[in-house]
Parts: sequence; C-alpha cells; structure tokens
Amino acid sequence: MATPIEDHLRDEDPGEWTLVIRGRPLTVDGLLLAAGRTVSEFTWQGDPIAAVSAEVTGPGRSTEDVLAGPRLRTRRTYASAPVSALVDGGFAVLPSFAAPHVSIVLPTYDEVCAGALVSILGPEHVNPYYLRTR
Amino acid sequence: MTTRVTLPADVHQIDATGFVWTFLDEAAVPNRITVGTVVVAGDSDDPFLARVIDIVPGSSGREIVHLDVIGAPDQVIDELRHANLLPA
Repeated sequence: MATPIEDHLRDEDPGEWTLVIRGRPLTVDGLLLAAGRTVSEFTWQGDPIAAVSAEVTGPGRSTEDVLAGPRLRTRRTYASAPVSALVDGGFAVLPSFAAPHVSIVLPTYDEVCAGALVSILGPEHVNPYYLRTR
Repeated sequence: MTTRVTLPADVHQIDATGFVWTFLDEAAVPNRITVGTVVVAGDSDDPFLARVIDIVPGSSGREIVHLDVIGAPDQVIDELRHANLLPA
C-alpha cells in the first residue's frame, strides 16, 4: 500500500519560499521517469502522486546554499523559477521530507504536463558550485 | 563511448530517510547493487557516484535502494589521479 505523502510534509510556510531549483535531468523524459517512481510509492489526497523533486530557497537558505548542497553540487547545470510561477502554472509545491526538498506535483502524468514544467523552469544555467567542496 | 549507469536514479529524489531513493529493478544488473558498494547512479547525461546504504521493501512491493551521494565522477577521478591510482 502506497504511503501518504501527507505523513512526510514539513510544517513550513510556502509563502516564504522564493525559488524552486532543480538540476539535470531537465527533460520531459527525465522528469516523467522520476515522477513515475513516486506514482508507485506515494499518494497525495488519496491518489497516486506524480511528483518531481526539487529544492527551494527561502529564509536562511540562499540560491548559493542550495547549489552547493550535497545533491545539487553534482549537477553541472540547473534551472530555477519563482515558486509563484509554478503555482500559477498549476503545479502544487509540497514541503516534503527534509528541507530544502520539495515535491512538484504534476496535475497529470503525461508529456504535456512535464513539458509545461520544463518550460516554466526555463533555461539551464551553469552551476558554479559543481565539483567544489564545502 | 556511452556512459553506462549502474543504477538509474534522480539525485534530487529523497524520502523520509534523507537519502536518495530509487528502485532496484531499474538496474540493468541488479546483483551489482549490494549494501556498501559504490555505484555510478543517475542518468547517462549527468551521473553521480553514491554508496548503497540499504535495500528495503517499498510500499509498492518493489525493492527500494537508498543512496548516499558521494559526488560527481570527475571529483573521484581527480583524486585517484592525484594519488597515482589512475594515470595522469
């Protein structure tokens, strides 16, 4: 039986978040592959959830902090967008598991929806913290 | 030469353990994935190195592998060269 993601949401105010940041893969196929895993394991509001993992900036957590973090620093490039842009585009952003991790919910698990998310995240930028050690 | 990833995974995707998680059945050769081993994970476009923390049953019945991210392959190659364990 799949696990409700509600059991793993942080008590955090999304209104304080600024940017959503995600490194590669930033392709439709890559996002669907990742979201397919959550469909198997987790539910949200009683249904299987297709979600893409990302990280957020906010109070006490800068873009540099995220890019130099243990996961993002393995990414050569990244893309980012205001949290509000994702929400306006129809993507719920959930404060799941340990900060700064979030789950971006795909309203439908298909290429159109994943493509829309890729578009909102925008162009890739070089991660200046790639390969650096803290 | 095409990069061969031992265990497909998304480096961003963590669960309640705080570790990256993925499914064992996504590995082309699952018996290469054992607790404590270091594997090339991710995707062929931008792989990462990780140590296998554990392999546990998922809520769907599929086996889940938890990974501790070590870093980018270039980091390890650079260190091995520095130690003369790889040719410069």
